[in-house]
Amino acid sequence: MLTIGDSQFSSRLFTGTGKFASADQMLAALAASGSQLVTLAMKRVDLKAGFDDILAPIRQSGVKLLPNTSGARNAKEAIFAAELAREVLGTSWIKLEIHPDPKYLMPDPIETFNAAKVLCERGFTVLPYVHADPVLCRNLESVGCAAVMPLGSPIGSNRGLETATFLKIIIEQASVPVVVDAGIGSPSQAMAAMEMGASAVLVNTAIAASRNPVKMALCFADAVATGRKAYEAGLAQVHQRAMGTSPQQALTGFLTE
Amino acid sequence: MNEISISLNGQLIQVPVSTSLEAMLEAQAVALDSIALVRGGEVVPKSTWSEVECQADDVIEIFGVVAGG
Repeated sequence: MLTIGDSQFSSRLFTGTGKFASADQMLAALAASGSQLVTLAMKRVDLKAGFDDILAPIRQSGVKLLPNTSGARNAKEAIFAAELAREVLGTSWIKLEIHPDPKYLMPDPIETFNAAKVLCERGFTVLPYVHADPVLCRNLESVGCAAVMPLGSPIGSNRGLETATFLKIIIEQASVPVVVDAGIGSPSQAMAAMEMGASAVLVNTAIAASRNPVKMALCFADAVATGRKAYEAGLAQVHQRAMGTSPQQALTGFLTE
Repeated sequence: MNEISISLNGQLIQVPVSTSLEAMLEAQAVALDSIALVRGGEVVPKSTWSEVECQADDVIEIFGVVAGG
């Protein structure tokens, strides 16, 4: 079981709700993924467009909700978004994300740190989305974040674990759960993150934008479970040279002995 | 009946004087348990919506949840 804050999760696959073709498809894929923690975003209601209540069916499914602060450009806006989310959803859990740059959506480390500090003081369970920066992750942990969520590669890019070297350092040093968030594009990449020792992964685009999101959600669930088991089993050591698996004496020597 | 004008998500609307925030919201096509209300930049707790009345020239914004990663 994975423990974050006051909650336990038997599934180590967390999922986002964005980019699905329809609400029905999203709900079916979430169910198939087995995910117990699901992200949502906050937005000003467009009264002319009509109110699309996606929340009711997600609430009914019984998963834990993780609202995000997407759209916030600085700490002040992110704190405001967290307060809104707490009011709407009745949860103090918040995925803190501040990424003002629209092209690469790189998280702003300074604003994220400042917001995390305030939100932790106000009693939020803060899961910050950050670059794979081991020093920043330790600092976020020290101000009380319940987990850290470093990126594998840019959001929605499906490029996988391009930050692998630094993810390994974060995992080695962290005493809070490490959730690899953003960039995971395939089940094998999710499995690699879990083999590395990540506590969980957060996947959205790779499932939602696949040809068959329900089937892909099942694949991710399998990959994450297998990767975790492999980590627990302890991977064998990597060597530069061959290490024989059969007796190494010359065959003739073996015959004459 | 006397009416006052308030701004709701950028649109000016008229409501009768002494209309509670809750009554004002009920006239909109929104699910009350799925939204947050901000008045003058401050979040107004849901527990007070039935008591707090709209004031002339209030700037009110309502926020909801959308899909996201």
